[in-house]
Amino acid sequence: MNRETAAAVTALNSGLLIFLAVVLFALVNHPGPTATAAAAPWVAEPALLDDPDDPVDPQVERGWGVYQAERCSACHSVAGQGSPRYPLDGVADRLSAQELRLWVVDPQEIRPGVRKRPYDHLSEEEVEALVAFLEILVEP
Amino acid sequence: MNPLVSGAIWLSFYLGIVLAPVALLLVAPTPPGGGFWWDVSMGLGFAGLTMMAVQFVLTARFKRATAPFGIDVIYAFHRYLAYALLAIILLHPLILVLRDPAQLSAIITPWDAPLEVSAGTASLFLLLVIVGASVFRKPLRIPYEAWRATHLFLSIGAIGFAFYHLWGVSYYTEASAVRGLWVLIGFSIGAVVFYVRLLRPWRLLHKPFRVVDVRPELADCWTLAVEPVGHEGFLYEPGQFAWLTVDRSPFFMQEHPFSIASSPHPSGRLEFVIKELGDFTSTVGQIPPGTVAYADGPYGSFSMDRHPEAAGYVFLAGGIGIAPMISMLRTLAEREDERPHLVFTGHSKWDRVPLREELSDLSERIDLQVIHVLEEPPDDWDGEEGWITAEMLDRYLPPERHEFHYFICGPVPMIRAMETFLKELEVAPGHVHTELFDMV
Ligand SMILES: Cc1cc2nc3c(=O)[nH]c(=O)nc-3n(C[C@H](O)[C@H](O)[C@H](O)COP(=O)(O)OP(=O)(O)OC[C@H]3O[C@@H](n4cnc5c(N)ncnc54)[C@H](O)[C@@H]3O)c2cc1C
Repeated sequence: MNRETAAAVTALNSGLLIFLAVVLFALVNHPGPTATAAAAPWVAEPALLDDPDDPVDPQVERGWGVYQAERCSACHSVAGQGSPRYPLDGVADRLSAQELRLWVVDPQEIRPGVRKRPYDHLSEEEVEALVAFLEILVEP
Repeated sequence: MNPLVSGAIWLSFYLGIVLAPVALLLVAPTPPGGGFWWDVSMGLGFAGLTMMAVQFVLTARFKRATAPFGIDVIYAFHRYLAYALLAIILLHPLILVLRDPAQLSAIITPWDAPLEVSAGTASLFLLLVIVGASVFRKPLRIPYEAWRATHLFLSIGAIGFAFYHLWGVSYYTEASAVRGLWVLIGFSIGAVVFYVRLLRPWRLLHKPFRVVDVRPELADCWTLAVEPVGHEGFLYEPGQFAWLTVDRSPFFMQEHPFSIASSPHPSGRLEFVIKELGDFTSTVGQIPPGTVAYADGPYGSFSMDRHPEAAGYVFLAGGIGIAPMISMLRTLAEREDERPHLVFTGHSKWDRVPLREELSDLSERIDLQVIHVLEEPPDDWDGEEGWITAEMLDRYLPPERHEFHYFICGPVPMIRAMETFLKELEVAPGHVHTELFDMV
C-alpha cells in the first residue's frame, strides 16, 4: 500500500516534471511573434477590416472568407495566426498568381507527391477570391 | 543496490527517454519555433508519444529491472503514469484549439480532416477507451482475459496511429537526427512487443513443467505442485510469485499470478496454494497429474530474504494471503532458524483455516507462535476472536518488535488496517511489507 502510494506520487510528479520541461523547451525555442508587420494585419486584428481610412478590397475580403471557411489555418498561418507549420506571409513574393491557383486546386501538378489536399470542390469565383487574398501576402 | 538509489537512476532514465525527442529539437537544425503555445503543444505531443512507448516497456516484466522494487510497483507506476500521459496528450490538441478555434473542426469531423490529423484523433480516442476500460473493468464486468487481450491490441493501435500522425504531420521532424530518434523509438516498441508476446512465450515453451500433485486443503483451497521437465526450473526467494499457465500454450496469454508456497528446492519443484475464486481457480481441483504447465518467474519483492538482518519475522495473513507466508515459514524451518517469529491469521471459522496442521507442525520445529483469529469461533475455542486488532498485536509482539520485519498479505481492508496498527505501534514503515493479490 505504501509502495502503491509511492508509485502514484512518483508517476504524477514525473508527469508534472515532463510538463514543466516542455514549457521550458517552448520558452527557449519559440522566437516570439515575427509577423507583426504583416501585409494583412486585419487577420490578427479583425477590427481593422472595418477601418474606413484603410479600406480592404472586397475581392480580398471574400478570399479571406474562403480561407476561413476552408479552415486553411489548420495547416497555414498568416500574420502569426494559425498553424506555423506552413506560413503564408510573403507567399506572393515567391509564387505567381497561376502558381498560387495550382497550389489550391491541383498541388500534385506543381509538386508531384506533395502531401496536400486538392481544393478542387471550390467554385471558380471562390478560387479567384482566395488567390486575390494570397496575392496581397508580400513581405513588407 | 539500495532500491531508492536504483529507483532514482531508473527514474532519471525514464525522464531522459521521454524528453529526448524534445531536447534534441534544441540542438538539431529545426524550423523556426511556432510561438510559445504552439511549441508547448508540440512538445507535449512528442513527450506524450514517448510516454506511450515506455508504457509497453513497463509491463514487459523485465526481471532484472523490476527486481529491486517488486513488479507490483512497476504495474502501479504504469497505471498512474497512464493518467499523467492522458492529461499530457489531451493538452496537445486542446492548446491548439484554444490558440486557434478553427482547428476544432478537424477534430470533431475527422472524416473531413487530412488523414494524418485524423490519425491523431483516432489515437486519442483509443487512449480514452483504453484508460476507461481499465479503470472501470470491474464495474463494467469485463472478463480479465478479454480486457487483457483488448488492452494490448488497442494499445498497439493507439501508438500506431500516433506514429502515423507524427510522421504525416511531420512538424519539427525534418532533421535527420530527429527522424532517426523516432525510428529508433518505434523499433524499440516493436522489439519489446516481439520479445514479450513471442520470444518469451517461445522460451517458456521450451521450459515446460508438469503437474505432479493436486491435493485439497481446507477452505476451498488446493495445493498444486509442478516439476520442471528436462530443465532445472528457477531459483526464487521465498515469498515471490510466478505467472502460471496450465494446459494452454504460453502464447495465449492465459496466465495467472500465484505466490510460490513451497520452499526453494533443488529439484526445481514449485508448489502453489490456490483458492477457488473464479473461472480458472475453480478448475484447479480437476487438473489431472501429468498436465503440462508453464511457470514464468520469479517476480516480486515480498520476501524475508531481502531483510535478513531482522530480529524475527511477523506474518499477518488474511485468507489465502497465507500462501507466500507458508513459503517463508517452510524455508525458516529448513534453515533451522533460531529467531522468534509470529504468524497471525484471520479467518471466519476453524474449519476454514487452510494449512492449519502444517502451521502447528512448524511451530514445533522453530520458535514460531501461531495466533489464529476467528470471526465465528467454535464454542470450545480459547484463542483470539473477531479481527486482528492493534491491542492484540501489542499483546503478542515482543519488546524488540522494532527490530522485526512484518509481512502482510490479505484482502485490501485487512492490509490497510494492519498498516495502520503497525504505525500506531511505531513500527518503521521500512519494516512493513505488503503483497496485494490484485494488481490490475
Ligand atoms: C502477486 C499475486 C500473487 C497471488 N498469489 C495467489 C495465491 O498464492 N493463491 C491464490 O489463490 N491466489 C493468488 N493470487 C490471486 C490470483 O491470481 C487470482 O485469484 C486469479 O488470477 C483469479 O483468476 P480466476 O480466473 O479464477 O478468477 P476470475 O473470476 O476470472 O477473476 C477474478 C479477478 O482476479 C483477477 N485476475 C483474473 N485473472 C487474472 C490474471 N490472469 N492475472 C492477474 N489477475 C487476474 C482480476 O482482478 C479478476 O477481476 C495472486 C495474485 C497476485 C497478483
